[in-house]
Amino acid sequence: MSTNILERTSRAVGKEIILSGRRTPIYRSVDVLVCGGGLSGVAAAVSATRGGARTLLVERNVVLGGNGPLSFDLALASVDAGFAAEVLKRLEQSGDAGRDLFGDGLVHDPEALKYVLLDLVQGAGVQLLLSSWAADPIIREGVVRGAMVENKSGRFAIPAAVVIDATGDGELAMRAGAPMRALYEPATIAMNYRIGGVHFARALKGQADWPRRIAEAKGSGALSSDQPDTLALYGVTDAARERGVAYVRGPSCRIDGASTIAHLGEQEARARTLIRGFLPFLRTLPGLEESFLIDVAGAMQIGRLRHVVGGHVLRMDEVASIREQEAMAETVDPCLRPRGLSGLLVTGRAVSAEPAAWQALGAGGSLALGERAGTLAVQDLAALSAT
Amino acid sequence: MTAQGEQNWIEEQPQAVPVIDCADVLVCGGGAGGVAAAVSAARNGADVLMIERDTTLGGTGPRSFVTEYHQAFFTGGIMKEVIGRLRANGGADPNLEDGHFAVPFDPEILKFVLSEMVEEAGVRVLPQSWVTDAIIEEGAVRGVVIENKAGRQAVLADVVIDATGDADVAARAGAPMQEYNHPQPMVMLFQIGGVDYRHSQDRKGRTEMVKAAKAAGVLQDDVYLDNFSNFGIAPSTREGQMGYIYGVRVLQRDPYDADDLTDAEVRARQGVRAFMPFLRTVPGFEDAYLIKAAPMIGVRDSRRILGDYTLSREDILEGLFHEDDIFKRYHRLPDTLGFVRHPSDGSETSAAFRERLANAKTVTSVFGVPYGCLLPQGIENLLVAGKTVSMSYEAHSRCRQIPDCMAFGQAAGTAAALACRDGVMLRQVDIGELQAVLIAQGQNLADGAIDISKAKVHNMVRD
Ligand SMILES: Cc1cc2nc3c(=O)[nH]c(=O)nc-3n(C[C@H](O)[C@H](O)[C@H](O)COP(=O)(O)OP(=O)(O)OC[C@H]3O[C@@H](n4cnc5c(N)ncnc54)[C@H](O)[C@@H]3O)c2cc1C
Ligand SMILES: Cc1cc2nc3c(=O)[nH]c(=O)nc-3n(C[C@H](O)[C@H](O)[C@H](O)COP(=O)(O)OP(=O)(O)OC[C@H]3O[C@@H](n4cnc5c(N)ncnc54)[C@H](O)[C@@H]3O)c2cc1C
Repeated sequence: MSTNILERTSRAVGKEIILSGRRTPIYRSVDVLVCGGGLSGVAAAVSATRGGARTLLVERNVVLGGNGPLSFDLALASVDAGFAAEVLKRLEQSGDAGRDLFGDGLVHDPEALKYVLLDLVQGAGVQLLLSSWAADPIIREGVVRGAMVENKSGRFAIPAAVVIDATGDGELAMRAGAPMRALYEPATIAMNYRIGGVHFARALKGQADWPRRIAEAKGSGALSSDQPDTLALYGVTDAARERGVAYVRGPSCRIDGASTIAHLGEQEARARTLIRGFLPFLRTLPGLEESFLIDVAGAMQIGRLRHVVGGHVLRMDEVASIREQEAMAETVDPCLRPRGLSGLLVTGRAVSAEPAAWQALGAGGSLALGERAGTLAVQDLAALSAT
Repeated sequence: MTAQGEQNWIEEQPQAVPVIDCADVLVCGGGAGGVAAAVSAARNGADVLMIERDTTLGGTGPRSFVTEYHQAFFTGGIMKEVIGRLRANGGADPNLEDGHFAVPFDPEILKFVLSEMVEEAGVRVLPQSWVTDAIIEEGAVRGVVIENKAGRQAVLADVVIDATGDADVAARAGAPMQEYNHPQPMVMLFQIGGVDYRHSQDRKGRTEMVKAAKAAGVLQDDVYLDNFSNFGIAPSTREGQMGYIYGVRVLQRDPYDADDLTDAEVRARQGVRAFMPFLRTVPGFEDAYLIKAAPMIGVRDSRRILGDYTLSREDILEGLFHEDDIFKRYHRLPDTLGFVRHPSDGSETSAAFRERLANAKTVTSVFGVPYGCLLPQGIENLLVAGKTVSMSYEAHSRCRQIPDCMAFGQAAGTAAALACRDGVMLRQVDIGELQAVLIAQGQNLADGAIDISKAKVHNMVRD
């Protein structure tokens, strides 16, 4: 690739360089291209495929499920309909979902969720492309017609009749120039971890005393002052209890819509260092004397930093109606369409919804939105082929 | 991954991308080779930026659960330092004797140790970002294009070190590669809990159990090794009754083909799940449960560059040294021509294969690895570190362990820092000084640095 470098020293920072035009090979043309294999992307891809569309799901990681399993965000909404219920049923059947011993409601084993999603994707016949980054949308005459992907094979074009942006951050929408709203009220994001060797009866009994013990340890210098003031265990299903395994809500930081990736990386590194420093203290608590680190989550539990502005911005008072089909078409569909762009639907965390409405949706709701996006893509496809 | 359809390309217009950062030395990939390169470049005075697609450092070691260093105590420098820190922090056995062949480590503690070293050295890290292209001007690499949540961007640097484990930067830069070979089996290790360690290490009768399960159709023949093992168990892993199971593989998939890689990841992950019920019938694993499959499949071989020098079988078996050696390596393996421990057809546990290796003469040697292995032909400002340096297929099979990758990295980082300091091209770096710095910083390079008589005899081919 030849380039035109304007300047080459550090003075170039903040300037631009021009990457020259090129002929980029087409990987494959599909009806529906879903970018991002988190909960909402999987829901979208499965429902589009079940609706008869040739659908390709592109995910930058090598597993499905996105930030939930990666960050040990284990809460599950108890839903009784749609794709979310299907996911939940499978988890319950295998004993991988249940009531949290520490009162966090319905929780699940993150590894099991990855498998359930993979099964659903494969069962439906969704085409998969893993370890691939969905990059720039392909835009022709103002209409999104596919997207570029980058992976170990190179840069490829994937033409598609409909593109669903399920990257969680509206990444394709942003690159396509869709109106975005950054959220500047800081979100608290946490780095969780998993421990083994927990004696639950004693841990539960001692729980109330933890804040005092932490304060004491901070006072004596056994814990550094930047450590969290509280400690919470969660995610303990019956199976986890039997195995002595629990999840710990780890150190958190506050970020906002202006936070850079480098900043996020620094916060992650800081959180890992704090966890490392906290582990010896953990072993001084009743029931946790024999605890040991199994693993730190693969990523922080991300908050919502920006959302796309769609034909409608979902309001709090509309959330309850989402379970009804008519409300879906009337209220939700315009939220999935970014304002001023066609060929692209945006679902998941970056969906056009007010913060409170998004908050109220929870995981069941975001699966429902993903599922709806898949259905809508099939409708759009039918409309396209009719014309 | 191949293009399909009638018109199999689209025309892309020129695109302006922002330059978001510049560095003296830009390290692409934060695995074994990358971390060593970044730390040594920074310690030798360079301003270093390291870009990693994941959130944590260490690459294949901690993320594919390759939790054991081989030949580690005969490697000096940064590798030795990492092991020292692991031993001091509960991540590796503090009581292992010097000269020991294998050092099992705890991957979670390794991640702590590596980020601590990177931070202390002052390396800047940009995580969750993919390096997707090389920026080339007049045959020299000037920087790279990256993708992350902020979009498509550029990073410029005086020297770029490709430590992506797949020679991604070199490939995008159009660097010549070694002749194609069918890839060796990829392996998906997985982490389990509930292991009775003592019983789990008794492997008697295990091969027969696997074979019987295969014959009964319970286990798929090509997916499972006949002899699986509980691999790389550090003291902390054992105390937590955890284990890393080595036994699920995928044959004949190219790691740098996205379709192959997708297929391998999916198959292997399914292979892990299907293995669990069988595993619980094996003594020592009755209560085992799956914690997680490795976050990325283990890839043994990928693209390798064609460098100024290509390390060969002769270099290794005849124990050759070169004027521009960057580290010395102890080697003890069968002299079989075309030696490969894990043939691409998966026949490594077959009786014929094992017999051939067992009957071969074992050669012990110490050889030198030259700087030229890191320099891709025809391209300036680019060094390669890790398993993708210039080696023949057989040489790679004999010299691709994590300690080797870290030694390549340490040399690459040091050379890059010297080039930046002196304002010279990588091929003009003063080799005498490079070697002196490497020796001063603990690398095994001086005459007599490796005392073969101190080696613990091991037989890598045993099982
Ligand atoms: C019970 C429950 C309650 C919840 N409640 C709330 C709540 O109240 N508020 C809240 O904010 N959240 C909440 N969450 C979290 C929220 O549901 C999840 O964040 C949501 O499911 C969003 O998923 P997603 O698929 O949009 O994003 P993600 O899980 O982040 O998935 C995005 C996927 O896309 C991939 N990806 C990203 N970019 C690219 C790219 N360029 N190319 C290819 N792949 C890419 C990622 O790797 C990832 O797999 C809750 C979750 C649960 C389980
Ligand atoms: C099954 C198996 C068993 C093995 N057994 C042993 C053993 O027992 N002992 C031993 O010492 N060695 C063993 N090895 C070999 C050893 O693990 C590898 O050779 C070594 O880890 C490779 O190091 P590397 O630095 O080249 O690559 P990696 O460690 O894989 O590092 C590459 C890094 O680059 C990142 N990356 C990749 N592409 C990009 C990109 N485009 N942009 C940004 N970042 C990117 C990756 O995420 C990763 O972090 C084994 C390997 C396998 C697969």
